Amino acid sequence: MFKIVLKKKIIALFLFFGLLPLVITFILTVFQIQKSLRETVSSNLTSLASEVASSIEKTVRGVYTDVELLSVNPLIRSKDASNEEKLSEITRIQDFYGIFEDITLIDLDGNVIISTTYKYRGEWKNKQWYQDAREGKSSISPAYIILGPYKVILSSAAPVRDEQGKIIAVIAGQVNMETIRDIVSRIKIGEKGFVFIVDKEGRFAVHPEKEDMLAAVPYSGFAGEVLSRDSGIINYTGQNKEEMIGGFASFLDTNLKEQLGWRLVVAQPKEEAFALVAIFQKQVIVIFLGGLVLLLGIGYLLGDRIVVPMKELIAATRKIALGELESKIDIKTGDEIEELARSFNKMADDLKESRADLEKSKNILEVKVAARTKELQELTKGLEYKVKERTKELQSRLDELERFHRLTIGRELKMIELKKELKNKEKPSESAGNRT
Amino acid sequence: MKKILIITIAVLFLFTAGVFGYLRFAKSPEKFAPAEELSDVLNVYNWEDYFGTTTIEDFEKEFGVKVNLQTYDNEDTMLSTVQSDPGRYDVVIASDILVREMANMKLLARIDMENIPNFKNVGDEFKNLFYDPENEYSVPYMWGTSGLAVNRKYVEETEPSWSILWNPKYQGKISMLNNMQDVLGAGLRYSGYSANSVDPSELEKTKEALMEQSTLLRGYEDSITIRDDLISEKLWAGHIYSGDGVFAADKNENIEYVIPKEGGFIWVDNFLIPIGSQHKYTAEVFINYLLRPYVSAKIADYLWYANTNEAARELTNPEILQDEALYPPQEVKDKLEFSGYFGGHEAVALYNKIWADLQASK
Repeated sequence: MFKIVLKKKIIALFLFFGLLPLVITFILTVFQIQKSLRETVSSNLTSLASEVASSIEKTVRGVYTDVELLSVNPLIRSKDASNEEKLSEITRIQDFYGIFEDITLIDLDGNVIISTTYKYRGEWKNKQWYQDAREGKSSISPAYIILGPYKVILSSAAPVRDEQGKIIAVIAGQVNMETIRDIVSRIKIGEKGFVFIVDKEGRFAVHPEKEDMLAAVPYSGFAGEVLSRDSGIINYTGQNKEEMIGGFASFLDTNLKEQLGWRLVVAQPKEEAFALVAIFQKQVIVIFLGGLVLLLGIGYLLGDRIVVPMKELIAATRKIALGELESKIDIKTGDEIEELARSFNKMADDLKESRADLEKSKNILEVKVAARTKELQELTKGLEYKVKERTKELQSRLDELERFHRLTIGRELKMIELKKELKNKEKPSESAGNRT
Repeated sequence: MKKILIITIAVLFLFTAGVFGYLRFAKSPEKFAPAEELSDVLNVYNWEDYFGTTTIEDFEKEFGVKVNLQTYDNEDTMLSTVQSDPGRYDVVIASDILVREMANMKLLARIDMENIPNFKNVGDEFKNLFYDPENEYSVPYMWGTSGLAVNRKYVEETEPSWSILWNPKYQGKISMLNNMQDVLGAGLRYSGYSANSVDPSELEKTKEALMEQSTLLRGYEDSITIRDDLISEKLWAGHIYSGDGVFAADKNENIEYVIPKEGGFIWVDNFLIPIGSQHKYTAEVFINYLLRPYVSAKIADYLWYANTNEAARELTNPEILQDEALYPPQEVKDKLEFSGYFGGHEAVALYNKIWADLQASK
């Protein structure tokens, strides 16, 4: 019973003192270093988002600038040029720039004067970007869809002023968002990472998947969080339930930021983004488990190293207890236990010697005791004889006393009878006298 | 020994699982479903004068929601506004084909019919129509036709025909609607084509007819302006929506609303929720309220429009229900078409070009 408890104690103690630093190291490594690694990855995503946002901003600003340049084109500002001449000019410019899907000149009542395509349905006077331009401020629209055929468009409008600076019309250039989608789609982050843009209504202004363009962002709470800050990190669950992380950033230009409200998001599955962290984590766990196994092994071996000699010692002790003083232990542990075994062997030898001495003393004592016993027996016999003789003598005296006693009693009895007889003889004489 | 080994491994397993669990879920963002609570305000964008007199007030009283009602006189105005700022309004009203277009333009939110149990009150013939086959984005409201209102005191023709609006005698006393599709549809019908033609040559001929007409017109105007000016007899004839035409006829006995013999458009107006709506649940509650039979009947009684709400019929003024101008007989209905670019998107540019030229001509 003792040996198991001791072994358990040894292993438990060893595990405790061995595991404690191991667990502390494990926690520190997993939590602290991982935190730091995660922060680095997150920071990288945010930086990347800022860089991409900057690139997209440049493109959008280009549209803005191009439309402003159009608005100061002498032919378009001219009161003398016919609509045909103006149409020819804006068509030429559209072909030259290559970025515009359509260029439309609108009067101050919101009616289209000329358009290169006439594909834009709706009342211009109610479009915010037209209203801004009409008020003298260049403006840009949110991304929107036209059907004819289906396109996602971004419009930029600028006021057209005459030579006196009076606003006479508004010119609007429409850019296919495919241009921006191309830029965004080309950016690859790992195997599964991608870039998209969220507008201030919480829709995908740009998404690598064409059909998702301008669809509401389906990730719960995503739009609210992303739109509440200019840049940062967001964790969310993707449509396929994949855990994602995204770094986001907005434009730096205040006007564009205000008008478009876009947030550019660089998103990546966490599994991929934190692949290094996961590898590191696995390695730490493997080291931890390896350490644990090692500790268990060492604990077990150490337990054996202590307990096996102890078992031998116990067995030897039991033999000695049974009188087998010749039993010896052969332990070569090179430590205190070996010393203990040596002491034990010596103790056994000493005990054996002592026992031999004791045996010798015992024999002498036995002879002495026998002689004395004989002497005592003879003395006893003499005394018995004397007692017998004395007893015999006493018995004869006792008999004599008995006879005397019986004689005394006989005489007594005779005296009583005589007294009775005497009495009886006195009685009749008395009775005769009384009658008289 | 085995026991201690098992316990140690179990403890370690739990520890490791705990650590992994923490790492996996500790940083998961909290996700909250939006609470389905009424908002304090509701922003509604509707045609001018297209609710009952107390509809909004009654809703505000019952639900404690402040309704900010703004109106438009042209569907394109509404479309442009929603395109500009999809989050500005919570409920808008649009006719059939525009519903489809707006859905395709991803400007509409999917309506949660769980919040609109009164959808059952809508007549089956108005459910799941071609423009929204599963009523994902729209809830039908009123329906009607685009026709003619004529003042018999001034208009000689007895036969209902679009040609009345091409009669030079009425120059300056006639107006057309300020809606591209309605105007081109009327022109196409007048020219003897389908109101939805996408044939460039037919459209070219129609354009010529409309350009010719434009010199006679006072202008392209909204239905309410035309209605009011017909009542005051500033206009003698006008292109108008059925409800406004019948309303005018009710106010001025000389006025009659007619569906031209050449045919015209039939339409169904619908409640929609723009994709950026900030108060979607309240919008659904509002739509549900409008579908109550009593509320719906009260609106129809005021507007003189044909109602898609079947359950409201028995509460509606019988005079309205029996008015053939509002509920035309089948033979008239057969001449009516729903509007839409059914032929293809190439027609959009043609339509827009003709419309721009017509507006420029005025």
